[in-house]
Amino acid sequence: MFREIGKIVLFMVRALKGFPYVIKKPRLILKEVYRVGVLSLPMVIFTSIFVGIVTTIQTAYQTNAALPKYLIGATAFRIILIELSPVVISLVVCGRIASFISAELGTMKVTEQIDAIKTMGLDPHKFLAFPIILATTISLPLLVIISEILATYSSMLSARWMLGLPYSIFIYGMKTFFVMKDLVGGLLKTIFFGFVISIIATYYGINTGFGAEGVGKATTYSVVTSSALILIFDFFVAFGVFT
Amino acid sequence: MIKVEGLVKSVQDRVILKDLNFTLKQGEIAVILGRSGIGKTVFIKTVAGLLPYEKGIVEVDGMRVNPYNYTDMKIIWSKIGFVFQYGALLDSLSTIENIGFGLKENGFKEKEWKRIAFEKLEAVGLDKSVAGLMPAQLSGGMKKMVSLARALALSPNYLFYDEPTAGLDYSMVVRITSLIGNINKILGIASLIITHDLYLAKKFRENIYFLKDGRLVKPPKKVTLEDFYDE
Ligand SMILES: Nc1ncnc2c1ncn2[C@@H]1O[C@H](COP(=O)(O)OP(=O)(O)O)[C@@H](O)[C@H]1O
Ligand SMILES: [Mg+2]
Repeated sequence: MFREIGKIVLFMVRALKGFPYVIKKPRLILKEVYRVGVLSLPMVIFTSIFVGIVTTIQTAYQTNAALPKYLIGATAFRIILIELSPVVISLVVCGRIASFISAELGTMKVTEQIDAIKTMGLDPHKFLAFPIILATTISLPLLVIISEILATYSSMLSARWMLGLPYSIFIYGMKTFFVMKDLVGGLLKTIFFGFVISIIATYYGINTGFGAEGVGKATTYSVVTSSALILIFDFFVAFGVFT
Repeated sequence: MIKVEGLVKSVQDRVILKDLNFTLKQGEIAVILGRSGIGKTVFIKTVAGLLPYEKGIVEVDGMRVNPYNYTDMKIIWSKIGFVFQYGALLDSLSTIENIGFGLKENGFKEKEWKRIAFEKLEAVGLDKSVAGLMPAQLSGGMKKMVSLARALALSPNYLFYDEPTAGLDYSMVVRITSLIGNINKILGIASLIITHDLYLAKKFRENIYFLKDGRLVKPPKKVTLEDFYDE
């Protein structure tokens, strides 16, 4: 396991050396932002709407009838900013990105395309991996911001329609109890999650083993490892920043 | 010169190459014959620095082949052209873009890399009309030809061929075999061919080896290749 971590760190260092090369090719980055970010939008929208609705139901259920109603707005908004949007969206996007990137790079590995790139004197780490890493690290926080907006709206709307809570009261709760740390902390960790997901996905993709079985394994390891890392790092952030 | 001494290489705890020795001098051609699954691809990829090995020396022009040393490998790979068994063309690029890819990424202007790429396309005997086709639209033989053109575009000193004739019809086998011979003779590029095709091997009879039990052995002069192969 420590050897694997060492290898991943070395991989990361090598991929990051692609920065000067990739920065001169904005089209390469845009292409990946499209594949990683834009194409994840439908899933993000769908997930966020349901996250908002469920959050309202749960906070209404948890907050006792004796407590003031604006607490529903306050609690729903904060939990969306701190945990729900960052973690749920990261996990959902991770499932999509980690699997397709590892499968795609893995297929290139077993069909010897990665070997071909090497023998042409090009480094697949900076050429293939770095644009994906950069694009994911940029896209994930943006997706989470979109999700936070959508989930909050959906929470407010469902509070109005299901609980009869006026918008003004929901918004009053949001404003009064808003803490900048929640927003910034939630977003900063997603930058980190995006980086971790894409490093793991490209690492397992480029190092895929033998044959079709190898691609299957790479894809599975990639999704399982990056999901687990998101949860572990989220715990550390919660422990370090929000306690 | 390519020098291999005492090479030991295992794949998943199974020893594939044991104490293997081999040399290929500038301008020479060598053919390595062996049954399917014996480790030919593993051998050629190890020599090309695409797979790690446990023991022994692998050198290209006095430089140590080490897949983990990217700085050195870049220099070594600039001298080696690799023709992959199934072509290994990049799926997302057209034929001509595949051939010119290495040049383009190494800083050649579009006009220049296209000129060289078309020149190599013609050199391997492919028609201009395939230039715009995607790899998925090419036949197996054409993919190998494009793979060869792509390797030639970077003017290598050494060419490695992995099963250049496998899976092709007879006329294509004859075409590729004579192409390999001409590239070696006319351009003076040292060539290492691995194959299980006796037709191809016989054309380069002078420098044949068999890969057997993880080592290279020269077939005795008196015995025909067929007899030796059957053993
Ligand atoms: N990455 C790998 N993982 C597991 N087994 C492999 C791998 N590469 C090759 N092998 C096995 O090693 C042996 C030699 O393979 P190879 O060199 O491809 O044979 P061939 O002589 O047909 O080219 C085969 O048994 C093959 O199944
Ligand atoms: Mg083979």
